[in-house]
Amino acid sequence: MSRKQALRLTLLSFRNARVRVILLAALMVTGITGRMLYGYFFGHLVSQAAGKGETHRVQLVAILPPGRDIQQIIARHSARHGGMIASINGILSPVYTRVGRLEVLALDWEELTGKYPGVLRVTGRLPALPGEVALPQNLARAAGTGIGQHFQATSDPNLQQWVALEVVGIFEVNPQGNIPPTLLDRPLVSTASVSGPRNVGIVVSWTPPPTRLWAPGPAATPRQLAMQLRTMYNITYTTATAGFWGWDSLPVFITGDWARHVTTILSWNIYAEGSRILGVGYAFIALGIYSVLIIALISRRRELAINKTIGLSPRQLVFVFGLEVAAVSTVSFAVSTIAVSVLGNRVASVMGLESRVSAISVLQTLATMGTLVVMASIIPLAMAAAATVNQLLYGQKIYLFKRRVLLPVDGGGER
Amino acid sequence: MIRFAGLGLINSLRNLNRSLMTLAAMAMAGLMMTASLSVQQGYPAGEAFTYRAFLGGDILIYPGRVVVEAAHLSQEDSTSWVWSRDAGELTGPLAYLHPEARHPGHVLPAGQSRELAQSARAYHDLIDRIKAVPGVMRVSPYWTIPVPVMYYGPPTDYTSPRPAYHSVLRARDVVAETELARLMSENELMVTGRYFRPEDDGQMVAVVDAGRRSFDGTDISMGQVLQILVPRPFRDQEGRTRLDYTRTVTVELTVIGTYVLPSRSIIWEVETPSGPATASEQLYFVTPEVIVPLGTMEKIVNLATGVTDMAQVLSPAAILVIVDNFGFVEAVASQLQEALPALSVTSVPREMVRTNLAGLPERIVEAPEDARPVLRPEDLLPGQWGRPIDVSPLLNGILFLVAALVAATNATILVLERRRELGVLKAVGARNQDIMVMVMTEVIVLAFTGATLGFLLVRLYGSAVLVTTGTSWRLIAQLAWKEWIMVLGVTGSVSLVFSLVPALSTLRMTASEVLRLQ
Repeated sequence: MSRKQALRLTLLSFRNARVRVILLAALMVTGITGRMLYGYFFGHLVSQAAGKGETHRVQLVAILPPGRDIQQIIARHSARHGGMIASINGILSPVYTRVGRLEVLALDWEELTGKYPGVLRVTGRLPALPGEVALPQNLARAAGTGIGQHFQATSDPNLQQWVALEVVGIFEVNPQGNIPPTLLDRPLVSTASVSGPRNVGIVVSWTPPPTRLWAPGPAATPRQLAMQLRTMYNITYTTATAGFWGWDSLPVFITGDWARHVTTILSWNIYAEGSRILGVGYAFIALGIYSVLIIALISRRRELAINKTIGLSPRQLVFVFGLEVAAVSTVSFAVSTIAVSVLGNRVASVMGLESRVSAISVLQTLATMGTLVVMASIIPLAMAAAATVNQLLYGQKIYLFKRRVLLPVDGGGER
Repeated sequence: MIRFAGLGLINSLRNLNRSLMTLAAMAMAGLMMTASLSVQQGYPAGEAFTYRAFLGGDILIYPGRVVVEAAHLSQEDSTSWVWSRDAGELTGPLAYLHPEARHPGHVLPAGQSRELAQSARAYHDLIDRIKAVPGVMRVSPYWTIPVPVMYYGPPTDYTSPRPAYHSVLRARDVVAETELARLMSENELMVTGRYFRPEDDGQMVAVVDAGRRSFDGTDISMGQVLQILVPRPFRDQEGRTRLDYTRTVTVELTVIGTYVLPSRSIIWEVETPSGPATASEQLYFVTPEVIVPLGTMEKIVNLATGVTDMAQVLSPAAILVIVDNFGFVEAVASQLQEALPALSVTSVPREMVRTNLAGLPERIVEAPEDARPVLRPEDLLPGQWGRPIDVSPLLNGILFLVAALVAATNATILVLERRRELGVLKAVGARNQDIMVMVMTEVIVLAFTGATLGFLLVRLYGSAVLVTTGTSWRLIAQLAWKEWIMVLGVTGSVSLVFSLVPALSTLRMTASEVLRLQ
């Protein structure tokens, strides 16, 4: 039988089996929709939400536990790996005050405001001399103090030696600023006011050497740099003590990827749950396709028998059957892609995200469903090929493998 | 008609072998539906017991938004949710389980302070709203005050150098709360001395964690005295709690006991000269807290401020909720979250699974990196957590659709295979509705049998969970009955609707047409 004849035969069989085709198409649509929802919708949400994080990108901020010096670490990194790291370093330390135990931040304010103008809206000025402090508006209000007045603080755990800092400025943090705004939302002092190693570093620029851009595992973004600093200098995230001792012993690198991080974990949860449920869904789909093909076989016994009688080989029968499945799958795939695009658009618009279908996800879907269809079709197609004309005409059982029948004959031999 | 229904029943049993696929599909659909109805509602009685006993409840209510939901990321106005990092000190569950609240911070609605209530009245209203939620048995606020400890040691030896360190004063209702007392006595967790008794309420006594010694060498034992400096708490103009460390009162507490909290262990394989062996590390949940009875805390706050209602000057670090039945804790948590949209509600078991996966809250010392039950190393960078989107209704819908299609294909096979039989029945006078009853009976029997199988698989587990929580047999039976009817109703109706099309298409033919086709 020629290819043309096979195609014509397939078209004829379509006309004879509407319900079956509809069922098969519906199953395919369902399956593909599930796959698309999984791969496209959830994955898309994550990548877009991560993209939103980009708009909030800030420079790398490193906060180290007591005893670690950010200047030393950054200098060592630059010496070892080349490139340029420019950072503004300072000290973050806890003090007792009349409005709670707070962190005071000591930085070179001139340098910071030079690099990031407009990050603070200051009434008065920022501290430049020892014994001066600038307070956020809400803290100044709670402490009942103002410019020219005093703000008491001590780092002595016995609360014995208090220092009266002169309030020289009251400020608001500009939320559009490039520095994580709330890092600045605390009492600010000059670096001369606080002693000890510099445990805060704001990396304002990072230029990796060109050779590292294509080297394995290079640090080319602030996030990668943070990871590299953390692992190379053995600054582990000491989890238990983090909650236990508060800021005193928590080494942290903050990058602008916070939103990405949130959504990474969000997606992790979704993927874990989704893949578990969809695993069951795939089993269902395979089961459904299998059962539809079995119906196709049963309802067309007579037709198959005639085909076999007029000389179609098993391979040709499989070809006709397979062509039918392929045609239905392709049409269903097109319909479901459109359906998911419409559905995805609606869902994404509700979530404030933009809907896009990538060619890779469509191809992945096609490959997954193709594999499922092939797996589910193997047994019914093999049954159609293995059946004899008699089995088909008289409704006898069809065996996939030829059975050896042992008949006792006179003399005890086998036939 | 009844005779035909009986015929359908006999047919379904006779063709059970062929209908296994439908049974399996229906069982899976029933299983998924039952799982979404019952299993996710609660846990066995002993789940996360150490953490629950220490924290003081089954459900945690955090101030502010600790967990981000997908909808929050879709805010049109990017300034309505801002990155916020607490300048003040964090205490309680937030500090132990969410250190990322300090570094690098949380995404919170702009202008929202991390405060459970901004006045005493708002606090009492909040407690009333929590109590009004069905399933809530008791509410246990997690009262804390960060305090410097000026001295610890024998009561007579004040001349020695003062070993000051920073700690947290925490109150426990020793009259109503019996869980920690039970845990301590059953597991012999008191290293020295004893745990609180109801008569200790209002006395200047404390219980501390003996595990501190391994952290910073602070070695406190029974009989010693703790001299603490309690700051004066007050609320600022915006209602936030502030602590005035310039005006403190000195309080002396007698340590009546020290405890340890072994919470979980890590097991891993090591290579030894004699072959692979198993090594393990016992982890301890260590906190800096100095625990005092609630009455004692009230007395101390009264000494510092003169107020009798602590809520006038303080907000609890968190609120713990004890539920009537732990078997429904997730259901109660969902209701609480709905009632309190501005706060974060999570069950302690769920919180501990997440926290343990991030390597918190215990310190891991010996276990090698690859044996630690943490997520990918990069996830150890602290970050805010997202609440998973509940996609189960959508996915359950897809599963039901596929199950229904499988039922429909089965019905098609059923009528196709038995066309001759149906033709004979028609020839001897069976009406269309009789044949319909026969076919539908078979479909329904299969749907019900499959759904019941799936239902039983899940419900048996769910019932076992309820048995451990002391739920009455009557309630378990009532719940099972209600869910069974629901599962049968959905699977039965879906199968019926989807089987009608193939059945009707056959019935439209006359007896002679049916027979001729054969």
